[in-house]
Order: sequence, then structure tokens, then C-alpha cells
Amino acid sequence: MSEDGGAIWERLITGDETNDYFVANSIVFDPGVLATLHAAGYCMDQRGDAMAVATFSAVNPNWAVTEMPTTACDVGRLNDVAVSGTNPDIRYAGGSCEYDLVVHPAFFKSVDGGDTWQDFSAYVAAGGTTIRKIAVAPDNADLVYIMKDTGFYRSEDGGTSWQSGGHGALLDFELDPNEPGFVWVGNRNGMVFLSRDAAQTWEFVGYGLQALPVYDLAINPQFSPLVYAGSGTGVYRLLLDDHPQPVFLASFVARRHGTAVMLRWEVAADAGRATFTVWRETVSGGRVRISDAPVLGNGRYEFLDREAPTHRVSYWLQRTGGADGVDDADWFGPAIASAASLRFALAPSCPNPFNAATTISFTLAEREPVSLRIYDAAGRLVATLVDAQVTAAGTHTLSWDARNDAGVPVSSGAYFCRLDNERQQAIQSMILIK
Amino acid sequence: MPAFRHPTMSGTKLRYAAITCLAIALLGQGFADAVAATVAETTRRAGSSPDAKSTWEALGPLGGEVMGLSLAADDPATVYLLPGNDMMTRIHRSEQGGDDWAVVGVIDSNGEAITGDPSNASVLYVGGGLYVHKSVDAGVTWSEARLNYFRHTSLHDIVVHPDNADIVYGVGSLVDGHFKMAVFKSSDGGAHWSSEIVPPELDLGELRAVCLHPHVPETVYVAGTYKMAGENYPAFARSENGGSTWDMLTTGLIGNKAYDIAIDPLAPDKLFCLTDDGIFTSDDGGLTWMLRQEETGYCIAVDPNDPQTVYVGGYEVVYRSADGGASWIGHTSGVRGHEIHDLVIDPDQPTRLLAASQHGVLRSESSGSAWSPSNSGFFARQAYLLAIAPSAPDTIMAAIANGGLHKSLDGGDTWLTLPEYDDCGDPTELVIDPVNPDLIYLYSGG
Repeated sequence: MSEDGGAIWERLITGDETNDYFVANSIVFDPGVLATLHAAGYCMDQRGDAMAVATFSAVNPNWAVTEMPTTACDVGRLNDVAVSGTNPDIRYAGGSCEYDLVVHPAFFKSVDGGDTWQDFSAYVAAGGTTIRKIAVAPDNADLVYIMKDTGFYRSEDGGTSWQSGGHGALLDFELDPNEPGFVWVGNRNGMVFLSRDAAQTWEFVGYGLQALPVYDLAINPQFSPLVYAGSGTGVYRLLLDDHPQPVFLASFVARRHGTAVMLRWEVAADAGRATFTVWRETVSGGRVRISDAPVLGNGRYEFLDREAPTHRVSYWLQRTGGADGVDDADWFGPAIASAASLRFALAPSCPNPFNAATTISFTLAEREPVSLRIYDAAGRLVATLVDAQVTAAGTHTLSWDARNDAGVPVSSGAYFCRLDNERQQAIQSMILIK
Repeated sequence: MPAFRHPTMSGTKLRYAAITCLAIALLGQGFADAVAATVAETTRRAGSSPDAKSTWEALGPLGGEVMGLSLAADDPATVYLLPGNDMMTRIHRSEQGGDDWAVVGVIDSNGEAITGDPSNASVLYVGGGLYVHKSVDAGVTWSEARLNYFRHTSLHDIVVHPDNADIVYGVGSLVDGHFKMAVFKSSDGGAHWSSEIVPPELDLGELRAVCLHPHVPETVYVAGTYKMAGENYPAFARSENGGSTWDMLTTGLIGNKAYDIAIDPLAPDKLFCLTDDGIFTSDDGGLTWMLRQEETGYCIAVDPNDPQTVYVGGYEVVYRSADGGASWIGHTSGVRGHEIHDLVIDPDQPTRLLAASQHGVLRSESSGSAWSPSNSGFFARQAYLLAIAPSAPDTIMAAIANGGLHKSLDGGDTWLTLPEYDDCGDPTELVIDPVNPDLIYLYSGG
């Protein structure tokens, strides 16, 4: 231990004290108790090595050792222990165990702060001989990651079922403390991968690491994503620049659907995870953002502007996601939607015949007062859905629930829906069946 | 935050191609897909600016073990560096006399000796265990040839014939039941090699050094160690027929092993030999030897312009003689902690020397009287543990294999070497207190 930043070191545990039989392979700080560390390793005794965890306090510098409860293990060593930050009673430990000359991964869980441990080894996916490292998601004690000698796995249920997160000879991984779901792994061949979705998909980051092993990764806990890698050629630093990479649009089309406008665009297939916001050009030439959230897509994107103006209108896309903001290079467009070709019309109701309710759509060529009324087969007024209201140009949709203006359900039979403005009218028939 | 630099990436395409191959060979599903996608992206944008998003910045610590240095025959400012202790040997080149090293090529095995063809600056040889590697394009690409297909070998020194570039000699050992002193010779520019056991054939031994007579290059000198009746002796042998037959010439040599030899280029009967018992000279082509100084070293270099000036590199010292080896003065400034493996002299500016040590390259501008590190761009130290202080993330610690603890207080821009903490060997775990960045725990031994 050094209390002055590494100038003077004090030996806390020496090899000739009574507690020297515990050998630590990894050490972590307790997330809740100051100056308390937990270690994973093994006890050396006459029977051979026994898997064990130990707790160590600077106040009382001795290992408080707990051996793992397993009978199916002749010799074993733990490589790592992880304590949940949200629930420190939940702890996981992993390593390897030899039983009948077969070596397999060993995994244990404690739900009582390390007082007792359960053997979860049988749940761990087959393959490999050892678990090298464990981590618990900072915000979820049941989301556990393990790195075996053969690959990377995760469990969402506290270690009883596991999904593969990729195969390969990894040497280290780290959960990004600033970005939930971000996982960084380093491998034997000088490669670092980043997953942004909790180890389900990976992207390669890391040109420049000279193909030598990445032994250790460390992430700046206050500024992300600033990552350090300890490799065969020293320490490396990567400031992951998440400013979007150049995107090339293969197409960007605006098409009228009634008064709405459907926008569809496509980016080059290998352009990555681009996201966009959609903007509509105003009459004055400015741009108004019309998508609340960035539009996601996997190469192909679409966005429906339900409130499109009926005149000819231009649309623009803006690439999103850059930490440093965006610049002109991130604008794409325009895609131009023609003016809506509108005429006064009443569409057939749907469904028809109908039972509980039917939907009635009508289109106005211009903003004007209109009425929409329901009549029975004898021509008697049954319900007034729109009563001489000034209504915008475009298509409007209403529902009729087969009740009259008094709120009383009407009987089965034929009904007529009539749309009136000051100059013309349109009628559609509909059948109510009860 | 510290200012971040994004180094340019020369040779980018080559590196991407290598990554593709690795992905196929070594990666499993998921990670291989990620690499393939990245390569596709890179290929699409080939010719445009490099992807700054994905460039790691080397922070150091600078340096690392250097096995040997070689000056280009046509330009002494061009220096090749052979790093040690790597499964992948990354040959570095400096075009500024030891500044701004950069990886120029990679060999997929370890090397112990590097030399250039004196008649062709583009040709380099690197020898190690079983193989000799050759580059004909100034270190960029390398071919390999096995020294002996039937026996295990080691190679410690290599030299090219000054007049006939097809002839190359290497020395080391050949395991024929026992380690035997061996000379390896190629007569076709390193494509094929023959092995010769240097007598006494019945005894164990290993050669460490070779040099050629500058005017009669068929005269070859080798030195090393051999074991007879359970005792080790320094070996020195001469062949006057290109390595076909050998004469052991050890009269006056004492010690247990010979490390290096050198020859006076203007008076070739004058030879130098370093043994573990001292610095020796011979004025008769090696027939007899005279101890000149008991303090010794591991490597020797003779100033080609003024052969009276001779340097010997040792542990934490460089000796200099201005009288052809008769007397020596030791210089220690700047070499504390360094074990000098190799010395080269700039023939154009003979006061400039470069030295190879287990910690990196040293440079002297003062005829060896003072030395300073010259490792910019040379990253060969294995950082196997990292720790960031959670409460002060610009405080970073790194454990370097065989190199102690290093600490940065500015996010990795600069590094301090911490004092040795113990004698337990390299730490296996290193953690910094979550609250107090000065409270550090490390674990070592077991």
C-alpha cells in the first residue's frame, strides 16, 4: 500500500504470516464500504488449491477468507470477484476448477454479502476452462458479464441463463461507467471492440495498436469515451470521436399520400448507424424540425409528415449524434413534395357494413365551413358530426359510433353520410348491422 | 482535459489488410463481423482521410529492450532498431539519427542480431533462433530462411561479406545432442544456409560474435564460450578459408566467456575481444592476447575513421579508449540502470554514438562521455496493468513488465517512473482508492 501516490510503499501482508495461504488473483474495492477490498484467488493447503474469496480491510490488514462450497472440484482457483453497486449483497465469483482431471469454468453467487455462496457453475454455458473476469452492470445487479478463455457471455437473470456475446481469445473487458450498456473488450491481437448494446453487437475500434495483446483496459470514469489500453507496446489512449462518419445518401424521396407526405431515404449500405432529424422548409425559406426524435433505421429510413402543408414543400434531413454539434456537411436535401391535388370529396366509410363504429374521411380543397351529417333511409337527420365548422384543406377523418345526437344507439339498417359546403355536397351510404 | 493528438497513419491500407487476416484466423463470431464491417467501411473510403475516430494514441512509456542497432550503409542518419522480447519483432527505423523511430516492418519471430549489407543499403538481415530474415526493401517486407532443418539452432551475430553480398555469416549454437559452437554461412544471399561446428567439436559451446577481415574477408573471426571438463572458457577462433576450417586462438584470453570482438579497419592484425574478465587486445591477428583492463563490457565498437578510438559498452558504463585499447576511461553519465547490448558510431560525425540497452536507445553527442535517451516513437514496453484513480481520472498508473510502476498525472501525456516498491517481482494487481488518488494498493507474489 502507498498513501503518497506511490513514492513510499508499505507491505501489508507478508508471506510468513498466518494468512499467507490465500493467494489473490484479482482485487476490487467494495462499492459501499471505504477502504475495504475483495479478492478472488485460492487457498493453498495440503489437498491442493481451493477456490476462495477474501475480504481485506486497511484497518485490519488480514485476509478474511471464504472458501467456495463445491464438492465437484479437486483443485480450483478463482480469478475474479464482482460486487454489485446497486445491491452489495449480491456478489459473483468465477475461475476454474479441475474435477476428475477435467478443467471447467467455475462460477459462484452470493446474495448475502458474501456470507454464503452458491455454486452456479452448472448454469454457465459450456466450453472453455476458466472464467477470467466478471462484471456486474452498474445499474442492474442481475445483468452480469463474464469473460471465459473462449469468449464473452452475459446473463440478464443473475447467472442462471447465459447468452454468448462473441467468441474469441479476450484478455480484458470493461463496462463503461458513463454509458450504460457500453462494453469494451480487448483481445490478444491488439484489437479493441465496443458494444453499445450490452454485448449483443460489436464494432471494431482501435487502429494503431500494433497487433500486440491488449492486457488491460481502463475507462476514464468522468469523461467518456476516453479509454486507455495497456498493451505489449505500452499505454495507449483513445478518445472515441463519436462525431458521425460521412454519410452518402443513395436516395431521398418525398411522395404525397393524400395531404400527408411520406419521406423515404436510403444511405450507403456501409455508412453505419446514422440517425437523422427531419426538417420542413417554410415559405420564408427557413427550416422547421418536424421529427420529435431522431429517425432510426438500418440503411433505409422513412418518416410520414401527417401535417404537411398542401402546397409544394421541401424537406431536409440533418444527420444527428455528434457531440460537437453538426455542421453544414450534415444536411441532406431537399426532397420536394408536390402540392397536394385536392378536391372536395367524401370517401366511402370503413368498415362498411359496420357494427360498433365506422370511420368517415373527407377531403377539402380549401379551408372552408363544412357540415357532415348522418341520415337514415327515410331521410331523417340522425347525427351531426360536423356542423358548419371552418375546416382546413386536406383530408380529415372522423368516427361515427352509430348513435344519434341524443347519444342513443340507432337500429340496424341503411344510413347516409352527407358532406356539405356552401357550393356542393357528397353522399356515401353505409349499412349498420347489429 | 489534455490536448489530444491524432497521429497520421502512414501505411494504413497495409494495416487494414493485416487486420482482415487476423479476423479470419483468430476471431469468433461477433468480433469478426465487427472487424469485417470496419474493413468494408475503410475500403469504401480508401483514399480519403484516415478515420480519426478509431486511432489509438501511443502514450508510452517510451523505450523497451533493444537487441541491436544498424546504420544504413549509405546514410548513417538512417538507423534500424531491433527490439527484443517480442513474439512479433517490429523493426523500427529512424531517419534522424535515432530520433522519431517508427515501425517499418514486422517479423513474426524474435531476433537477436541485425546487420545491413555494406554494399546495398536496402538489404538487411535479422537473425534469431531458428531463422534468418532478410529484407531487400529497407526493412518493409521480410523473407525467412531456416538455418538448419534438422537441428535446433540459435543465432547471436550476423555479418555480410563486404565485397560479395551473397556471402553472409552468422554465429551461435547448434544443438546436436549438446550445444555446439556453430558458424552458419550462406553463399546465396541468405536463401540457404550451411552449418559448421567450430572445434573443439566434442565440447559444449556457443558463439556470440563474428567479424571479417576488412581486406581479406575470407578470414573470419568468431568468439564465444566453450565448456571443457566442466569449466567454461572464452573462445576465439579464426578461419582463413571462409569458414571451412577453424583454429582456436586463445593464448592469453582469460575468463569464462567472450562477449564481443572487433577489428581495427586500418590495421587488421589489431583485434579486440571482450571477456567477462576484461578487455583484451591482440596485435597479431589473434594469435596472442593481452589483458588491457579488468573492467569489461558486452559490446565493442571501433571508430572507423580513427581506430585508436574504441568504445566498450557495459553495465551502467561506457568505456572509451583513445589509444587503441591500451587505456580506458569509464563514463557513467546517463547510463545508470542500463546494460549496453550494442554500440554504433556515426562515421560522418564520430562523436555521435547510439547505444542499445534493455530499456531503449541512448545517444551520446560527446564521444560517449554523456548519454541521454533517444526513444521518441519507440514503444516496446509491455503495460500489462492499468489503474485510473476514480476521483482524479487524469491520474493513471501502469505496471510495466520488468519495468516497474509508472504514473501519469496528466491523463497519459507524461509519465513518471515510481521508485521500486519491493523485491517481490512484478505486481499482479493494482487498484487505486475510489476517494483518495494517493492511496494505492498493489499485490504481487503469491
